[in-house]
Amino acid sequence: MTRDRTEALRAAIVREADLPAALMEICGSHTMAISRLGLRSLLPDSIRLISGPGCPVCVTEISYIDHAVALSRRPGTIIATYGDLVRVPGSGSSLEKERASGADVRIVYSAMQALDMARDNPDRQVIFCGIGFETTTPATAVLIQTADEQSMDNLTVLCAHKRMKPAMKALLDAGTKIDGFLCPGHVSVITGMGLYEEICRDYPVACTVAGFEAEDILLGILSLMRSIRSGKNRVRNAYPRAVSREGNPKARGIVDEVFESCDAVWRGLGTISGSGMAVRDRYVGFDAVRKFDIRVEAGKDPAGCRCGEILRGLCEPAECPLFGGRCTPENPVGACMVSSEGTCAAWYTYGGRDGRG
Amino acid sequence: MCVAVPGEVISIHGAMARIRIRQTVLEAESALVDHLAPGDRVLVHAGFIIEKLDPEISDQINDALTDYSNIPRAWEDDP
Repeated sequence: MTRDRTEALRAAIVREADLPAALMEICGSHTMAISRLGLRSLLPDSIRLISGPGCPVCVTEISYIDHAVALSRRPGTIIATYGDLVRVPGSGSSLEKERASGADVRIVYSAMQALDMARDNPDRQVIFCGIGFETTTPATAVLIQTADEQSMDNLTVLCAHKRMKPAMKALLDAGTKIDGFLCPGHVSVITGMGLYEEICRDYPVACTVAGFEAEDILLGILSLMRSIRSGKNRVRNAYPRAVSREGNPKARGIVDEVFESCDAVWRGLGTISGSGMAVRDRYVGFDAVRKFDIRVEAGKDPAGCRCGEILRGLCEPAECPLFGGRCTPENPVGACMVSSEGTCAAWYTYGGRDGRG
Repeated sequence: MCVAVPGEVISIHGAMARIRIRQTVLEAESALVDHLAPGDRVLVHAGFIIEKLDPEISDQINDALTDYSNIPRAWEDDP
């Protein structure tokens, strides 16, 4: 980020900002970048940046964690998970606590490491925690396809993958005031731009895909302000060096082969029709929920926690009574604080609207 | 969690590719993209190559950003 470029972008945004606008980013990496780079402080007061449900850890329901915890207690089980998930508290425990109590919980960088674990431990059951949006789902699909090709019978996936478009529509249907979505760059690498065309056709909202550098995000904001000011609900691409109109059809094809859409519960948003991904019957042997008959109660948010409202853009972290007191990154209560890409973690670490938490 | 980083393909062997990301070299799965070749610029996410980057478009953007006086117009996709 150079000072001249940033100033030129800021000045261009200011020229477009004569009307109030609420812009929602729906990607945890955008949430962190906006806070870390202090971009709110560069914008005029008329532009309000809202953090939406873009952090997959934050929107993962408590009962999913409870399910993973219950599975981790089965003798002979190895839980393989992305690191983001281990500290997220469930109703009574977390994968981190279970590991401290002796459960075999292993952090992976790639889903394919779970395959290696299963191969190296043929007498044990490896359960991969599959979470994430469209960017991450293809990796889980390849994992299942490969395990199927190798006839592995000791590898399953506890699936909570989610789709972004139904959540965007649910927010708008619920009446959340959003003038523009700053759309996730790496989800869009897979989905392409078509994901947003239906949104802009059916709702009075603009969509711009943006990258993750300061200039990328400011360009995205400039593009959104142009669309809003012109009165056109446009889909624009401010990240064309990575995102094409058609996205990655090969990755989507692999996902469609392995998964089908299903209803899913989002923390803070409730059940959203067609927003989840379920393992197709053809691959039923790789579905941990159907292979292991473990039932858990519906989870409840911790008392006083306002993560649900924060994820819908209805309040800011500093308005939560737990923020910065009982709930900190060291001792998180809500998912938005425990995740490194959560809105509360971003505000606590880098400051909020005016640079203060 | 959807962080992806750009890198350059050094070599391909079977389903894996060796990728240079700044000063680091790592292995990444190539199952999600076709027609990879050494020298390709790619995006890597969670151990998978998720897309090839278009160097021509990347250069155009860098040029537009360098000439920052053009920024107000550089992102217009409709006149």
